[in-house]
Amino acid sequence: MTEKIKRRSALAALGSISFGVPTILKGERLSVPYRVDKKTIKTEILVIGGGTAGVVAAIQAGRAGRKTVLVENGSQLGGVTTTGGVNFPGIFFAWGKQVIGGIGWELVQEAVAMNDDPLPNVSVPHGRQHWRHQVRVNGQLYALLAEEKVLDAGVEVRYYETPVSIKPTKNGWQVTTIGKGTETVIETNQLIDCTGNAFATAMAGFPVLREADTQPGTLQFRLSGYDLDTLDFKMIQSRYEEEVRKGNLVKKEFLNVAGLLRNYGDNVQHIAGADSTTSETHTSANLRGRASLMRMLRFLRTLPGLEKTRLQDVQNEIAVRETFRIDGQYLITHEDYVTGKVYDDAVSYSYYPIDLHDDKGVIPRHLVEGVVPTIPLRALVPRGSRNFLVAGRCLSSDRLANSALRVQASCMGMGQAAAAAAALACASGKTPLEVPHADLKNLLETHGAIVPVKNT
Amino acid sequence: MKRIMGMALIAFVSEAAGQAVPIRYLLPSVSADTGVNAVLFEEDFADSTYSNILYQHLDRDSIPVFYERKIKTSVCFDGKCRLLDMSVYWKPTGGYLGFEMPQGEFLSKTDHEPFRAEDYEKLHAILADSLSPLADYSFFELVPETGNPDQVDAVSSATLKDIVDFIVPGAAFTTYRLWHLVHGRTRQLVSAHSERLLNEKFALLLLAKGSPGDQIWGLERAGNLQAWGELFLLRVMRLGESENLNLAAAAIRSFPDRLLETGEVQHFLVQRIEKGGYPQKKMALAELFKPEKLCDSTVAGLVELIPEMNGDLLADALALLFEKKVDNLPVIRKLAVLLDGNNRYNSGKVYSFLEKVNSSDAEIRKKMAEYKLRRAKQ
Repeated sequence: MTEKIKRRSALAALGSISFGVPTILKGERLSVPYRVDKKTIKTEILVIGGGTAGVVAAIQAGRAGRKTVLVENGSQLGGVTTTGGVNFPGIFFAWGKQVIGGIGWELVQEAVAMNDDPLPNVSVPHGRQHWRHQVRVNGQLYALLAEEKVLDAGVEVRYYETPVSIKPTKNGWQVTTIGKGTETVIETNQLIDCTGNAFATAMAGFPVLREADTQPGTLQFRLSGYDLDTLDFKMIQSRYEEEVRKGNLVKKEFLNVAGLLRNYGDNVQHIAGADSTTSETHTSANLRGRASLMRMLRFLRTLPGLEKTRLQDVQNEIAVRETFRIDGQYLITHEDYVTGKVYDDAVSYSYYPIDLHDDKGVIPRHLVEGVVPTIPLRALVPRGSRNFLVAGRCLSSDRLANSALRVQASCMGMGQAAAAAAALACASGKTPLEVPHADLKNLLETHGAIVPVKNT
Repeated sequence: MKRIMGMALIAFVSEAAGQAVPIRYLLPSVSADTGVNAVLFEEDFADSTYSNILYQHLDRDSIPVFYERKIKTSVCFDGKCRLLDMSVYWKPTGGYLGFEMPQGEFLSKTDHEPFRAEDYEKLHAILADSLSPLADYSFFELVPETGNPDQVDAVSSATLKDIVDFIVPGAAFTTYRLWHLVHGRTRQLVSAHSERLLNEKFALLLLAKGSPGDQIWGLERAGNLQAWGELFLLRVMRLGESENLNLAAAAIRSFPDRLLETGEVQHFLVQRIEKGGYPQKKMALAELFKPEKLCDSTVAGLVELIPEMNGDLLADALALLFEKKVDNLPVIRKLAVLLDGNNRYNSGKVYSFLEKVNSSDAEIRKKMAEYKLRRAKQ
């Protein structure tokens, strides 16, 4: 302390006689004034967004031998699976068979193995409980594995960066990103928008679509400190309704307090209009999710048997279900989805019930036995674009189809397919839609992906 | 001794109920044989029935054919009790097999109405479902809720409304009690008793005639068998080719270390890498890390397949060859040719492998130098 005071006094004295020349004390170094580091880099494939689809896309692009850059505005990979805390990225199996494999499944399987987690017995049909076939992974481990594999594939990762301009060039795209102290111009042949929000698509000038009411988001958290068997659920429900009537709690945020307790907070909150597209909308969603959690936590701790309820864990960001979708070369309709239409250019399967969350909750509508929907490459290509693909929940689809297509396993399948198409396009000087389907199928299959087959 | 194995869905007339009621329901069994000997075990089942005896029914070869508990207990809720008097049967692997009512006994609902045929059928189907959402609910949460939107759960998980489909109407607590009894501690006890009696004949029976669950149970324990006969080995290999991923995985992973050293099993694994689906390729490759040494024919087979490999599989195959210290010149030269490929990831992996092998062969060194030069120009 004495030393610190002496130093301050010395600085004050020196400051009074100095003319902008800093005083350098022992152990300190004078640093040159900071300047934003501007540079231009060239790549063959640029993946924007290192989330569920983007990770798989980047790994596939790298493993296909293409020079690849991955831009991620956060500090880790995995997106909804990791940062969002929705660490059950199913479903990979349908009707007793694997329908989504490849790099996504490789990541999931390794995360499960390294954490000694169980894989579900998928030979037993899930019936109306599709979550029986969900695979739980350790989210943080998944993020580490994803990063390791992305780097192993030779991909250049650029964390903390976001695009601010996307312009077409003769052979592809010029994307300018800004980050912490960086401004980077990335020239690329192929661009894959894996933001989930069609953010890059809109920035590139292609139209995007959005529902008037989007599905709510969920801040993932985990509660502990109570014994379910000792709780008086009737009393808890009654007290909860009372607080809702008084306006202290918001019914739409937690529709069923018993469900909240039974699930220890896992995947139970609904935050209306949660949107991760821009810094402002994402900030708003995070703030509302956290405030909602705090209200509920304080309420629970007033109830008999729940006085010692603890917040075991909470994610850094809210997980978002729905924002923008692209206007694609093909729009997957609800009818297409529930009938399991197999397209000539089908590149991946999707398997999940129609799962539209709204302010009354969610009642999944299951697919008829044997039906496995598919995704055509055209649904990943914005209308009128060249050398531009999307992968993830923003694919071209109507709202009901999207409520099922948006889940993580499907997004992983899309990510791998989009990157394989981009890689072949790069190698052949074509656009992704011009790549022969047989070549695309072959590349995907040699990387473990499962490509739908049309029954003749 | 009652002959109860191998029968499914037999209807009897219950005089007490005065109507045709099926009172014995059994799933198909692995053995058509009859138990000729019953062994009694006194157990703590950790449930609140009065029964603490587990009957192990064995055939002439002392192979378990089924297990039985005679249940006598009351199911009470809100001060009303009903008697539960029945036999419950388990498969040798611990799965649910069926139930049977003693002559003249029948199950009844909350309002004392006897079960009808469709109620028994539903109960049988519910008890056969080891993944029922009943597992996640406490006894006191079983109040059926219908139609009230406030009760709809906000999450993608079971709701009280869902539970209604997993109970026999009017017999929620009987269903719940029986399901937890069937899938409770008895399962583990049955499995443990059978495991102690596992021999090649018993395991072969499971692999040949069991459900996928029975087969996986047998495969997961097959490594403990003293010896594998030729027939058993062939059966395991056949299951390793199954389209059922869980089953194929259990089979591929079931070979004991001593067999993994043999050319026959290594050849089978190389074949799975060649012909199997991608997950099977990965699993078979992973198994080849286990033996001390790879046979020459295994290495030759792998090296033929490597040029067709991509991504993760290629990385695994090269890692395997390095770990097994494969350094014979023709093999390494064959791999060095892959440096000329136009996939930078694949050639990069091969280059890393060659760097680690550190061969002094001039031809290989030249190829590596050329590769390095090409990469520097890119």
